[in-house]
Amino acid sequence: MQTLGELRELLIEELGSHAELCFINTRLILATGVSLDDSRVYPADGGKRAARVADELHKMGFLNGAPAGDRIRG
Amino acid sequence: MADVGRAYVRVGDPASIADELFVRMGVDDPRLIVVVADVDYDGAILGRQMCARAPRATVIGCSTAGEFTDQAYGHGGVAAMALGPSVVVRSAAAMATFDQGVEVGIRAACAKLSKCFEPNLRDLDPDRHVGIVLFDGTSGREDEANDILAHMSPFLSFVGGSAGDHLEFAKTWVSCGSETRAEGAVIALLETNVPTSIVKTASFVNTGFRFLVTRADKRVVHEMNGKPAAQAYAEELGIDIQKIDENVLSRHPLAIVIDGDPWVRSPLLVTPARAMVFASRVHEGTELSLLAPGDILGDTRKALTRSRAFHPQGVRSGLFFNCAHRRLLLDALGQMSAYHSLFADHPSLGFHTYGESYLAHMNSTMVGVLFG
Repeated sequence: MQTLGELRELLIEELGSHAELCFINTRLILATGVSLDDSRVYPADGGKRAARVADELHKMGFLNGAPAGDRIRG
Repeated sequence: MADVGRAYVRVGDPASIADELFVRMGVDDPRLIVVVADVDYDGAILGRQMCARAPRATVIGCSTAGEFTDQAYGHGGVAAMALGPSVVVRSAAAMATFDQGVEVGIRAACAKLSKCFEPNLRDLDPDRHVGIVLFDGTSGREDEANDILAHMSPFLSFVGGSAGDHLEFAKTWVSCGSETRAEGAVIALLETNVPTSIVKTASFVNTGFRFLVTRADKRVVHEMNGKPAAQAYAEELGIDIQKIDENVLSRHPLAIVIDGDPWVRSPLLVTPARAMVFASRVHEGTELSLLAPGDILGDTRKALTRSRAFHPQGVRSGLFFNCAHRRLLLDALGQMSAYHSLFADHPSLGFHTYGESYLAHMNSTMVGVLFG
């Protein structure tokens, strides 16, 4: 399981734009309650917060390791 | 003929209302018509009348808790806005039904829109496309629906609100063409010929105090800071838990604050188990900030000025979705007339909502889209 910071790095690599990262991060916070920029450690959390963010990013079609054409279709 | 028009009609049968709206809007060949009306009007009949007069237009609408244009405001009437081809290049709309679940309904509606906006929604240029979404105001599906919209088109902005019904919270409607639903959402997508910008203002002050949501389920927050939610809330306000009433809750909502901007979650009531029921979903692990009343007139003026600055050539029109709680507060303060004068700089259409949407469902907020 990746940390939030690692997820952030992967997403910025995929998006290549901080403006887009901010937009998606706002959507993420509102959808999951968790920000990619949150560096705090929650030892009792067991990685649930990062898992929630990763799941939401996958649903948005990011970090799936698939070319753009294979992402979720509208 | 103009390419942007709006009108407000207070009484009449659907055919005469449609006739009068068209004459007063004065748009020859509209590509988008938004109709907002008192809940007692039949949205299907209104939609059919509008479609018959504008065969090339996408026609969407919903019931309200009050309607306004830049020229008039009130409740019990029908208001509409028409945008012509110099503003909207193409448009399409689809009704999302929730009979088989929200995800199925929203995905099916997006699939219909994709046929008009090939190759697919997620590849559309967000600088040239904007969505409008109208939800029914009683089924409480807006949170999930906004999530699914983000999955389908993460970079597109959908702006809108939830339908109203005289503040009775009993039955509302949304309409797409001549189809009307009491439960569902209308999703419209526009390709614009002009730049657009989003307006958002909640008019509250951040007290700086934050709660960590430690137990929650959808719109019910059971615990904050490890205590029963209402107990934590009352302690921070310095009042007895029994003193939490509608007035306290509406004056002190909570919010997710992102870059200083509050995304409001309005508490509606306290349960006997001291949980708090909200008008929008709250996740466990979310930090919520406690808000205090702000200056609605001043904040709205600033928000509009900020967004209008994106359009140095001027604003052609604006569509606005204003929380019905703000309407009640403005009524109580005697500021309704002054408030509506803020929208008078350009053709505007708005209604008072049971929830607002932009990236997510929120409360006690005004959101809108400006067409430059």
